[in-house]
Amino acid sequence: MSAALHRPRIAPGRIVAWTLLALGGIVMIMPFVFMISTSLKTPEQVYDLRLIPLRPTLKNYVELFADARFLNWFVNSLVTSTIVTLSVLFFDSLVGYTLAKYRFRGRSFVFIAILSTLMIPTEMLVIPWYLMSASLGWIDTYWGIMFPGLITGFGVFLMRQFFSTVPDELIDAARIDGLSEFRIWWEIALPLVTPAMSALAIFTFLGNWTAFLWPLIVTSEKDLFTVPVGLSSFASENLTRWEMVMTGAAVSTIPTLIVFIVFQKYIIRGVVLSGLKG
Amino acid sequence: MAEVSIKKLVKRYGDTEILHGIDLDIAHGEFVVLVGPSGCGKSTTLRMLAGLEEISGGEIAIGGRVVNNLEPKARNIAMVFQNYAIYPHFTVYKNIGFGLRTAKLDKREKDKRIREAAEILDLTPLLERKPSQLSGGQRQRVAIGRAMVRDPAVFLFDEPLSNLDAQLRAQMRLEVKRLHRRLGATIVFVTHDQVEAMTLADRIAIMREGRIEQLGTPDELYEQPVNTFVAQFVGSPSMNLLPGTLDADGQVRLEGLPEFAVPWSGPTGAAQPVTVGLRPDEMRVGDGLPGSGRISGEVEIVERLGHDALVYLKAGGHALIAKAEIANALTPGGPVTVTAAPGALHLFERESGRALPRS
Repeated sequence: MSAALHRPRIAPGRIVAWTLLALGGIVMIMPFVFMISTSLKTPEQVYDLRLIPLRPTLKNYVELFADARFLNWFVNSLVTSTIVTLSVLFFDSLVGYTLAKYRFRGRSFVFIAILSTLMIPTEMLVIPWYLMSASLGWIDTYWGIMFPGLITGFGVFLMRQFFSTVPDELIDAARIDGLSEFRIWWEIALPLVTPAMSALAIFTFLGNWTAFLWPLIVTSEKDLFTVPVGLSSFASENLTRWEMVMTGAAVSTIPTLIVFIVFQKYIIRGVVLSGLKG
Repeated sequence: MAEVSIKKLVKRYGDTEILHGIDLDIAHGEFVVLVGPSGCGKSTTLRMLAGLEEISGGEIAIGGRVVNNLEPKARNIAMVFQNYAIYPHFTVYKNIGFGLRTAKLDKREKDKRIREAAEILDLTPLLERKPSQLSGGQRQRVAIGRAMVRDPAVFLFDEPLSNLDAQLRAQMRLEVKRLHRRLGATIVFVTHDQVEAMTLADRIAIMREGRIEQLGTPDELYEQPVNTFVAQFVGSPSMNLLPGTLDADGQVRLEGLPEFAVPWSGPTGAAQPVTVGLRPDEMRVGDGLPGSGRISGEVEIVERLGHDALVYLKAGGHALIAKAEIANALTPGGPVTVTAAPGALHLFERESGRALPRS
């Protein structure tokens, strides 16, 4: 009886861990909170660093949406990020599958070559990309914004690793069941790597949604700006409209949150599915 | 008709040849088991038959049609894999019916076949389940069901029972045998388990290092093994092999066991060194019939199996196993005498391991 009344003691180690985690959480969430808070402030209040604005206002949001350019940037970001994400999911998983499941001469070489592209930083690539875009007339086009990201070494690497875990016997069985090679990939292999696909979708969409350097370089027409590039135009030498930058940033987090929530569900479902042991 | 004909089948990976020209003819409706230790090429042979591995040389024909360059789906075969290879994201129903998608059958016929197969394999209550909700035996039955519904000319089984526990394996063995009788299909079955081979097969091909050592019925392999490899591989516990001589007077003698002398029934010439094969279950503990060879030694271990026992003994520097009906009188460390009748003897050339002919 007395044992049942005993409260479980919390180990001191746990308290330390929780405290550290809580601190980490606060550090992570603060920029987000500040962003929302600033977006609800008037220009005069921006440098008043209190978390809850004295007189919160939605004026900035009204102004943002009244400005046709923002909507334009939003659509640009949405279109380019979505197309790049779909392209990465399709091509990276096809290449990854091929590298994982087919035996051919030069397979390791191709894989290492693709992997080595991960070592090159974007900053080094933008100049060749720009020269290429300039000579091919891709400056100030959607294609120009998207083309460097349509297939990524990281995605190929990730998908190859996951496809390697799909048993060869399943693929053999599907061959005997009469499926074409493409349909084996589509109907048998792909459903078994949904966690990887979901993770790749989240990374790619987020990466492209927040991409700044390359879209800034390849676009000069304001109508073709993506959200991050557009928001930066709120900042100028003499005046930065922080409340508008923050309002735009706050709105632009919405699609990323949706993508995350949707695909996270697939990650969990995928883990449950592929938890089948032989 | 679905006979299978394999002629001079060769498989090479780069410069390494792993199958050295296999010949095998399988009659329509026959159950042939390929058996051998791992790496002997049995699974490779099966995969070449299925079209999952390229053929480096030779010819495979199914139902009189050469299939060397045909895709697996065009060969009219079905295969059951060791790890079941059922699709984890489909239900049992969809798994069984998956091979029918490409078949030109109307929906009702497909449904009928799936339900029939499920009925035969006791899977009807599980049709809507996902594979993760099934036991190992049930999963393997789903894999067999998927093969069955396609009504193939030839069934290929690649060690399908080796992932199951002993009891389930024995049960599934029976089911496979029953299925064969019911469908009358040609079956090629690969295993490394000689008990499985002996119990299932019409004929067994024993393979070693990319060659077929012997092809025959289970009885032939057991009674007339062509060499020491086959002799040891078939039968459990395996045959005792002891060094001895076949003397010019036609007597078989064992090294280190002078009291053992048994007349050999086959032709004899000059005295020659031989390997003497004695099956544990053809030896008797105690005095045998007149003319039997006697081996006296010391009991090492007695394994009781129920109504009989295995006696591990040491005699003349050799280790032997004998089956005994009554093991009560035997104690480890105690003396024991076993006998072997002349008819129980197998002789092999010492050098080559080839069997000497018996008359």
